[in-house]
Amino acid sequence: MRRGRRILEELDRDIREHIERETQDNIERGMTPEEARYAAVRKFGNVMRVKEDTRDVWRIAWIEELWQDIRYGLRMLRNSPGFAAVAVLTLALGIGANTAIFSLIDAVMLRSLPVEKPSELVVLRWSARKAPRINGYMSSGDCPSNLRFGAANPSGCSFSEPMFREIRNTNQFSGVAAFANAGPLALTGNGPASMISGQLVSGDFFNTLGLRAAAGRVLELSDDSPTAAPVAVLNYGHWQSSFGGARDAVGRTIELNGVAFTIVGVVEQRFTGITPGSDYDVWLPLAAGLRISDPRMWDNRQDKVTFWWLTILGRLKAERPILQAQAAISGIFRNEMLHGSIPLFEAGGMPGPPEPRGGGGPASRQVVIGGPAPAGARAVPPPPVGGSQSSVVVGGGMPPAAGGQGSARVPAPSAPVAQGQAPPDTPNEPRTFSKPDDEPTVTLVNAQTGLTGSRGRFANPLYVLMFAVGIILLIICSYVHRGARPSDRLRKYRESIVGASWITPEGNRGAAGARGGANANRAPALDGKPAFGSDWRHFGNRFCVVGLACDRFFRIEQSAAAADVCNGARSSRAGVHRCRFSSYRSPVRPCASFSQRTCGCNSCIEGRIQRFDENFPGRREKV
Amino acid sequence: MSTKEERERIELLQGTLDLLILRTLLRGPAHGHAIAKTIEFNSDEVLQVEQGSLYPALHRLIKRRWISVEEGTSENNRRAKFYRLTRKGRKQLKVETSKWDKLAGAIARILRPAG
Repeated sequence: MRRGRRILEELDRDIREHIERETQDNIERGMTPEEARYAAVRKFGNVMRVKEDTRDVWRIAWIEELWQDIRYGLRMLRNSPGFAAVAVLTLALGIGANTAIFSLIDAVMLRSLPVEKPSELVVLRWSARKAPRINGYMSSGDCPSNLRFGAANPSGCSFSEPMFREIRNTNQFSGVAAFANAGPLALTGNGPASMISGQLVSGDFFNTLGLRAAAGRVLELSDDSPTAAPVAVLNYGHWQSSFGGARDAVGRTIELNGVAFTIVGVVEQRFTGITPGSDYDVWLPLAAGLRISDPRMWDNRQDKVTFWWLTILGRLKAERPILQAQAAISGIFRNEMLHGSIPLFEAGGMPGPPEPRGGGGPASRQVVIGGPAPAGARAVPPPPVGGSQSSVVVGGGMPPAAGGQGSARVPAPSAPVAQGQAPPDTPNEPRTFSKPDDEPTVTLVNAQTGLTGSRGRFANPLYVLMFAVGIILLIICSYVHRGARPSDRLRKYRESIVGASWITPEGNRGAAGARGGANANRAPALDGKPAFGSDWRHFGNRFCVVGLACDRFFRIEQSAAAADVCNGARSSRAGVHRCRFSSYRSPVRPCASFSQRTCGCNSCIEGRIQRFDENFPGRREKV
Repeated sequence: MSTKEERERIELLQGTLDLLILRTLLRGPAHGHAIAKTIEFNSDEVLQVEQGSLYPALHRLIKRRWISVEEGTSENNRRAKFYRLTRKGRKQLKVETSKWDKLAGAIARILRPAG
């Protein structure tokens, strides 16, 4: 259009000069100046129309054309209601399915985390060769977890609360947040009792994520202590629906599982949970977990290193690259796991109950009692978890801390238990159990990808569904043009394939191009629930789908109709190969321009210029 | 323009005008009026170009980048816009010419069936 504007600026002058020249030529042919000018102007044609047509070449008039299509299509619908009804119904079903799938995909997969600077957030993931010896493990479904009994190379993202506190104290991150599902919450004190979902979060959860309050305030560090008064922060959508969006909900007291909580605020509207697809009604401080849970289930987990239940997020510091932070955190984790007050993993060569030499798979421990270490002592911690061990590996000397541990309470091992045998005392030589180190490590995973939530489970099925719906739309389009004449069928088939294949990929991906930019700082508006039409992405998708479907459908109809009309014209005026469209009913006039476009014509010049159609030599043009 | 003249006029295809313009410019750049005159002359006055339709055609060709436009002076020292064939346009001319030949051949076969 810019090129056009430049060139069009002088169109008036060009036309004037053209007529000038023609006038001059006419004068040379012997006409008088008035006659010459008159003839020149006549020969040129209608100047206004020429200017309009020329401008049309550059104008992108597709919106007007689309509108004409729609109007014509409605007329066609009135004329043949049966066929139109069936076609419209099937198209509507296809479009509806498409939109539904897209909404689902969008909500689950495409939106970036609704927090401030999501690219700085990392989630902690532990992994090891063997499962840790813990008493309790709870996963809130935030990330893929692999802790089946006996499985090799387990991993997960749940940690104990003492570990969380230790990580927070190391100052590796500019902010650390921990959270976990609060379990079923019975809400009373606000009308009829109901069950709501809630999340237990650390005091600086909201601050770390950079979330603000839409009303009242969010949780602070001071709220997360056993002696602090129990407070709660509401989900914006829940506030609107269950509390009517009343301003005085802040400060109100409600009861969750019988425990009184004061509502101190409502979080901003776009946040419903940090893990994509999560939608919590209320957030409570970690310290409140004890009060609202069954003590037997809760098991005093807030102080236990053997109960892993918290997902931990950290915000990276600008001056600390992720690998440095990861190495530091991993080191802390490892030390704690192997040499902490309660070691939960096995360090290679660590003193423990001796075991009989056993054959068996990679998971079993093989032991060489006594004697020097067959292999060299390992002074450096082994690299992070690789493949499973395949042969007898002798644990060399572990870092000197092995001997100096305090009350090393060795919990019951999960593998076959050893027979007792008095370990020989060789103070100078390290115990040489040929056990491989469990290699507990922590990796920092970018939160956007690490917090999969329902994404992981549904990603593949969703894409398959979207593809399937796309195929269905193609089939629908191919059915729609059954009414076309056989001679046009191939061309129209091609067109409807092209049109339909626009609909799904373009409609979806075009409108959802945000996938690539998911890690950008932009955090698009996130409704409480993904409502139809309330989001530009949904609208864009539906617009593309509906618009393209209608456009394709109507064009095919029109071409078919035009063909019929032209044939009728030819047969009725034998010998005169003329098919002047202007003399026919109005539905036909749009035909001309539309079939031009279906045949790939660049501009739509209406009026007396009509496109030649190979099948219907009756339609012609004037040059 | 009398109706008699109108009836005797042979009506051309829209794409054909583009083709003729491209061919005319093969010989060298020309301004709009000269193009019209050339077409008329070379066709022995059979093809009367409605000169107004020349401009949308030229702009179509410019938009597709088959021709380019530049300022220049005409033969009687008046300024004019000159149109020139581009490399793409040269290629397209070959394509369009062969399409036209095919079309003309097909119609001829129908009109005068062999044998």
